[in-house]
Amino acid sequence: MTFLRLPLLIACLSLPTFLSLQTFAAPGASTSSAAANQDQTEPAATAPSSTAQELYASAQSDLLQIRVLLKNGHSQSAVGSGFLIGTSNLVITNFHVVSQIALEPDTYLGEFKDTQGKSGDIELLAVDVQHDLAVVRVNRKGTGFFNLTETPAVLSQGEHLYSLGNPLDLGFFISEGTYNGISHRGFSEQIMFTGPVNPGMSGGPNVTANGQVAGINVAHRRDGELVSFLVPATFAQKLVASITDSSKPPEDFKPIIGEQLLAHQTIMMNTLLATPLTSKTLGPYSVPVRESEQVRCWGSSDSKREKTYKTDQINCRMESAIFVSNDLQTGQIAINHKFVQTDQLNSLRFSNLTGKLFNNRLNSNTKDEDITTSHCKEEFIANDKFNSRAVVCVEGYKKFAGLYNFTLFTASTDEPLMSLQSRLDIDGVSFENGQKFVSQFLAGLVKNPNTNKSSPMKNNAATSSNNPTDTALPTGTALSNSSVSSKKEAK
Amino acid sequence: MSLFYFVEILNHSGDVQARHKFSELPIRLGRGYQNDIILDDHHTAAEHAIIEQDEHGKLILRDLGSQNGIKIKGKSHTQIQLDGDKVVHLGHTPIRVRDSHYQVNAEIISDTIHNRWQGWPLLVCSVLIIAALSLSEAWVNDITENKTTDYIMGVFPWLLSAAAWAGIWALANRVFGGAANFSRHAFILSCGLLIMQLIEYIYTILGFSFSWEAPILYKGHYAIAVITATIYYHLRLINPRRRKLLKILCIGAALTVSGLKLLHNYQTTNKYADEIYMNEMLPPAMRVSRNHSLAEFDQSILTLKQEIDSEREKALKEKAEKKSATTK
Repeated sequence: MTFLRLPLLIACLSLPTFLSLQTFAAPGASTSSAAANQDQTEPAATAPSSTAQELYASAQSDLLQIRVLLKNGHSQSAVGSGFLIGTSNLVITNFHVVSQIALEPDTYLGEFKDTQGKSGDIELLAVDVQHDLAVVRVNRKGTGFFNLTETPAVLSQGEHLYSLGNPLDLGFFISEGTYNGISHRGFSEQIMFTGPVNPGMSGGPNVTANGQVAGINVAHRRDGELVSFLVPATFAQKLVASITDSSKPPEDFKPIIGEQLLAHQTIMMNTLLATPLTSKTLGPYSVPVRESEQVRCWGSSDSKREKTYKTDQINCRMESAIFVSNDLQTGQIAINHKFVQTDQLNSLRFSNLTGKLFNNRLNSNTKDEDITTSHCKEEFIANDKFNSRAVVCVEGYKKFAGLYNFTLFTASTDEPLMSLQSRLDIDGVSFENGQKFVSQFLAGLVKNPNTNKSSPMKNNAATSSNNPTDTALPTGTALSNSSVSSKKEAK
Repeated sequence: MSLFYFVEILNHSGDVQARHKFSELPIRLGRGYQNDIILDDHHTAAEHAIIEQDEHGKLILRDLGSQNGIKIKGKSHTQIQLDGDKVVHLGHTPIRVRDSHYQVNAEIISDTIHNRWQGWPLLVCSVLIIAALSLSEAWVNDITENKTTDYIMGVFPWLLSAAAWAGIWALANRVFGGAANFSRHAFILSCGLLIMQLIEYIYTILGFSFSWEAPILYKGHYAIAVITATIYYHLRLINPRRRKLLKILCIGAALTVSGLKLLHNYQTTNKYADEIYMNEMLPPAMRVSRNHSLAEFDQSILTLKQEIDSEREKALKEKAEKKSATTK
């Protein structure tokens, strides 16, 4: 499946499945504090432990664990967290916690469990796939501890924040960490939180020391330590505001999710195509890359090994993706340029090598529940002085109309002893956008008129020296996470 | 001129197993020890049949009242007129009777090439072909700096596998056809490998130089064809008599395997082709056909949308039908 090709660096916090919602009616104080003052005067003075203690004590009755169960057998399939909003019967959680209910309501159902161990049914009312949020209705009311406001909480870097939830289905936790600004790696903002957010805490609330909701636990970086992400509370507020008492759950969430994905890809592609692609030099070739806040590029080279050829690579990928289901993550772009040259092989042997590099570039072509098979076009093309073989393969999403995955891979066919092999992956975009990006990308592959073949490799890709592929990132490199961007309301 | 009668006991493939010469008639055949020819066959009677002359002086075989009788091509007779070519079954034993006037077929001219090409020259030739194939394969795939010894060592697995393959056929040949014919079997294999390699060159050149990708996408079927042809020649060497039947069987098997492959591809990938695209590369100097412009390529991508959307619709329809069928 295509989505697995880019291991998501961010672990979504629902384990296989976990939601915990804890709600607690905090004694009266809560509401006012939320609305009010941002000047948290004495967080430093208060011993952190006691703040956490007080917060948990007042929050626990509004905190819930959200569980997705198989209808057949009632065994749990996913678990996360959630919390009751104000005094309503609405619970906020992450979309990725309840995605199975949204996509396969015939197979899955949900329930909540509170901090006292009592459980009850939940009803999925609304989803916001872009921001990874969902609202469910339960048969109990909140105490009014967690409130969502239209204006976001004003936070200062280093400020203490507290995440609540039920990690790993162990029991309800409160964990302390600090606010570290906003991440722009995705197409919508996320709060960077330096604190433990473990699988199962997804959908749980994150609050300031005085109980104001700052965000919703959503993800953490697997390659980092305590680098976690929160969905800003304003997105949750917007989603909740779209729901009235009489709101009924839609019969089928798929068209709604499809629309949200389409809206997201429009924003994504508009951002990515807003400016012309940047050009980098690899040997005699100029190659297009998209370097931006959302797409990061890394360079690597493996000339060290005892080989008869040398490879230089530029890898660009987005660090965010939209979670649709465990099998389907979308809204991603990856670019790879591989420049291979040899001074020891002759052209026949070198072409045999490049043919092998060009093989198996498609991840899978077998029939699939979610995605159609690949449909490909291949051609020898000439662009100015650059000759190459290009293959474009497109597959469609079966469940969501109008969304496609594009894969383009090319191999230069104009130099006997060097080969430029480029690859572009675009997941979850409209056909028009995908095609537009593909043709811009192809137009960006050119050969510089008077380059002497000797120039080995001027690769000004990224600063980092060693980052061969997109999976393993050196520790200490910050990457960011998935999410969504625009202020799009999901109804 | 004295007349002799020959009774030939045949094996089931029609070759003579034993030949008995008589100068007088009648000749008695049966399992009992009073007979002129004793048949070691439990399906014959103690006194099974007799060869004598009828009133016109013709040679006949007469049944002496046995249970299983005398048969030609499965049909029972009580008395058969013998002409030297009829094969008669007594019980399970086929026999043929000829006299010394029988006219044999004309002498067959010895096929000198056929005879010279066997034994060690053929074996040397096979070894050379296989070694050449393995060396060229090793050379073209060598991307680390292999030493000469690596190349030489690389030949042995090829030769050993070839010997094992030819050995199995030679064993079968020894059992069912009398002679082992090892070197001929080895030669058949090496020719098969050589042809397979040539086909690979041909479709690579067609695809890369002339932009004709279609043959590459079905390359699995050429392998099937070459393998069945090779097996056909092995079988033909073992049993040269039934060429036509072997041909039909082999073509039938090849078509079945190819058909299954197409069906399997279609079921798993919705396409009949083995490959989704052509990955073979040759040096740029070997490009012959023209390159297309970006705009042309862009246009061709457009057609994909319709293909995908129709596949999606088909899949959704099937799913809906399945669902409505189960809910009913």
